[in-house]
Amino acid sequence: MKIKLVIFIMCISLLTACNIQYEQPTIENYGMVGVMGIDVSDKGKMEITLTLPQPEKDAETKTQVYTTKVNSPHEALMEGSTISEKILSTAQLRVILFSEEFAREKGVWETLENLYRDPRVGTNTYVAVVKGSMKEFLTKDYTDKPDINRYLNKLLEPTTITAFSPFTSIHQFIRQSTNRVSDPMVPYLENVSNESMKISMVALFKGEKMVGTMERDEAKIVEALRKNQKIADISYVIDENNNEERTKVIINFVRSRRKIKSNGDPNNPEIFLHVYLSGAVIDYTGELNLEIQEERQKLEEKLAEQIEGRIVSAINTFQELEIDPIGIGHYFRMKDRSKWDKNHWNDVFSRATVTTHVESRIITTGTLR
Amino acid sequence: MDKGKFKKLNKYHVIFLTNCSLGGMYNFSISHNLSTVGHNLWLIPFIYFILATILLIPMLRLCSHYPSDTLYVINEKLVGKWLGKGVNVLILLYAIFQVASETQLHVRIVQSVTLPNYTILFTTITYFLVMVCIVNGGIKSIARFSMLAFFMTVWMGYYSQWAFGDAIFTHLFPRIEQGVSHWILAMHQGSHTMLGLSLILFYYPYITDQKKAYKHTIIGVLLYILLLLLICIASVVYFSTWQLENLLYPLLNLYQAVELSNVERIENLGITLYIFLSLAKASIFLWVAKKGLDAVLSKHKNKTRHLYILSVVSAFIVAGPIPNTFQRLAYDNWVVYAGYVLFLLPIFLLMLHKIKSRKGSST
Repeated sequence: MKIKLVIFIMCISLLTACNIQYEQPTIENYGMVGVMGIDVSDKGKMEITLTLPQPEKDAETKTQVYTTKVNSPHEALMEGSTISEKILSTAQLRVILFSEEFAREKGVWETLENLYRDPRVGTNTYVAVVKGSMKEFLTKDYTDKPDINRYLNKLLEPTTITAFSPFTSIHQFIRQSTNRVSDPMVPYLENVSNESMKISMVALFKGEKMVGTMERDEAKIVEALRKNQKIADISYVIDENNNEERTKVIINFVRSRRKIKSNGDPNNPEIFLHVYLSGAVIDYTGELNLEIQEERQKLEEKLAEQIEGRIVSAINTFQELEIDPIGIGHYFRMKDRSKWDKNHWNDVFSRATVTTHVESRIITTGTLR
Repeated sequence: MDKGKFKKLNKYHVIFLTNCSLGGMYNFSISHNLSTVGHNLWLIPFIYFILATILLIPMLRLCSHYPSDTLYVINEKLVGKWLGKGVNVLILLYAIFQVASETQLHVRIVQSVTLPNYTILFTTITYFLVMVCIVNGGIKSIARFSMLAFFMTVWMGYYSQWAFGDAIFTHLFPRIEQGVSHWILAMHQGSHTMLGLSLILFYYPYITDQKKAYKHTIIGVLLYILLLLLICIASVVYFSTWQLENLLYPLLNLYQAVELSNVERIENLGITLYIFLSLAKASIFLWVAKKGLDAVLSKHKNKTRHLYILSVVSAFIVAGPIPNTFQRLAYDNWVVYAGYVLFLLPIFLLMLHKIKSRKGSST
């Protein structure tokens, strides 16, 4: 019996030699694309710029860059592979960038859906929008930075100081744009000098198209409304004594809690946002003695007023654009029994009366009073 | 085959045999299969558990009347020799297609994610070689492998914390928007995971403590339902309904959410480890098929060559030139409906047993 089994296995092994075999590429043959930048092109095509780390130590540049005019992201890889000495792969793709023009005019859905379909593309790959020409953005010499693949990946990784940014991944973008409630937001990048780029704003999307931007200070508060989390430091200019003199305060928020309630009535929608923020004073140019409870309370009230103003301003923008990046609809939907879809919620949200209440607490003033 | 005493399965063997006969690779697609009820899908594991506890009663009642016989023998005793053999052939075909279905799902996922540059032939052959080795040791060997499979994979539940870290918990709020037909369709589409429950009808005679078989089987089912519940809840909070409807393997995407400092693309590890669960489930079905061929061709006598024949047939169904439409029809329809019949067969056989025993006592 054993002899028969051995003969059987040998036959199987020999049979495999009958198959025409192409040499399977080894890891050295692959060029791992780190960043994919997508811009508009003529004839309905897209201009895709791919960057990958330079494996050759003797090469002059740190990054290999390929730009092609194609119809889909995978076509760009095929085209790039014919130019490069490597077989381009999406297995290490970290960042997908869209030019503002592309995001506003064409929309990003089709491209992201194609990349989401590819199991080699990680769903944690970051998505961002870039101001200006993509090719220019990716081919600039960021001389004091690591290669652009690592630089962009690090820049888009969540840190406390950039916590105003939503840091959206492919998965999150697709989830936000396909659920029946909320809309996606992604970081908005721009060059600040010849050698650096920064997350300057947040790009707002309605469905697949970009419809606007939001300033960093408003975005910080919106992030606090999206989930209970630690948010970035915020600076305020407040009118402390009801006179012309303005006082500057920078708060390092230690904790933020939010509660969203609604009446669930689509005919007369009412939404209540309650935000609780506690933090430490880092910078303060005013004259109040923050060790005295009453004076500290006065500052807290002024801060709450400022934050409330920013929330109202952000909500007004969202209502005008008929978008819901915060996801307030999740809470409304729990009570509204009518047939639900995104259009229904957009309509309800744009008519809703939103009441906000902010409580701010200064838990420490540092080592000075 | 294990030539030891006939009754060889202790309580742990029963628990893990039951556990591994459920789910398998279908865990990867379960959230997608249940997606017709939207975000309410996390309620379905509870319904499955209730149904399992009910369906097990007639199965074990029947088995308790024939404590030393597998369903193949019971069929011949109650339905008659020739009709019984006919039913046994159908069960045999069902088991072969179940083996093929489980194998196909595994090799397809491996091919599309881990080895995209290779065909499924080599993977299928190696998969069956391992399976033959497991089944060759008999039901006790499969039970032991099932225990190994459980402990090798259960810890991966830890990785669900990444999905919960980026969760929208309001999705869990049960908003029962769908009608009864949607719920039935969802349960039907996800039923592949529960079909292995009826395999107790075949390994019951090998259980040492048959009086406690119900309790041990329920523990096995409960362990699986808890895993299923974890997968469903993690999927509901992590995905939108569109994603649940369109992603073929949501569990794969849940693994993709994992971010570790020293390891990337943990889903490859997930697929690799899931081969244990897949092999355990397919092995139980292959063992049932072998018992069926023994019953049909050699009057229930153990013939090892039947195992090789069945392996070759199953492997051919998976990797042979079978039209895809036929495969889909077999895996998605025939196997499922045959599984339902196997759930209901014990009720019919119990009625026959009652009638026969009444006739016997009256004469």
